Amino acid sequence: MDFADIGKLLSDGRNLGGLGQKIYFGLWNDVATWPTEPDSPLSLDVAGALTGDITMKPGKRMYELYTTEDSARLDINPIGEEGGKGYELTLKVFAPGLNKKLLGFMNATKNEDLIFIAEDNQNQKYLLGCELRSAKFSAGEGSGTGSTTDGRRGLGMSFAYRTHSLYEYTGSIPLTAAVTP
Amino acid sequence: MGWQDQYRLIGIEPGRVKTSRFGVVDFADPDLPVGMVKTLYESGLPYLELAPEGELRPPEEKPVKGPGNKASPRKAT
Repeated sequence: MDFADIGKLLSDGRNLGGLGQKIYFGLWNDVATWPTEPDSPLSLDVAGALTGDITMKPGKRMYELYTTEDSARLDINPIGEEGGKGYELTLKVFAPGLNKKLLGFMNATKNEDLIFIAEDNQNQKYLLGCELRSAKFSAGEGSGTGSTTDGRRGLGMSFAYRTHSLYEYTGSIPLTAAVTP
Repeated sequence: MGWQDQYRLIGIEPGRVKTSRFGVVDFADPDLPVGMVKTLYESGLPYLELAPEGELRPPEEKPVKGPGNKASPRKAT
């Protein structure tokens, strides 16, 4: 690894926080091919990005999940013992309303192996899930009817994914079903 | 010529793909700008390939008028 100086790495001074209002999800078992992790990277840039695209098995695709503005976030937390450090990525979203489709989503995903792609407000994407590990439903903070008329109904959901390294995902997101090549 | 004359969609039904460069692109639209599709192809989007030459639409032929241009039956030799 060739280390390098790290300056103020803001493109045109932009650094708006938060995630966009669309989160992308799919089933871990429906993934056909995964982007590749850097292999013995020689630079810091290469060490922090996946290469290639996620593709789905025939008949499968990824889906959009709407989240209320400024209610979604991606937390990156170091985990593990000394000599075994890694990261846990936690994606928190809030889907407004208690529509039966949302309730069905929560029912269907609570014990499922999932993948997520979250895009921040700088158009940088993060993939939760890899060939070895899926993202899992981990908590439901803020879910319910709320207690006052100042509150809000909806589903607050957290999904967690553990990984040895942090990467930006630079590939595409298939929102249409794959077909047999 | 449209983008489908030069590129072919593979591995996915005609429909939406969210791309890093252009956001959501709907490949069911035959009127996508060719330059955009070219950029996506060159950036390695896995759902595009060059159309084989045999699938390229031939240029439209204008009918030529005049009695001398009628096809004549081949003579037996």
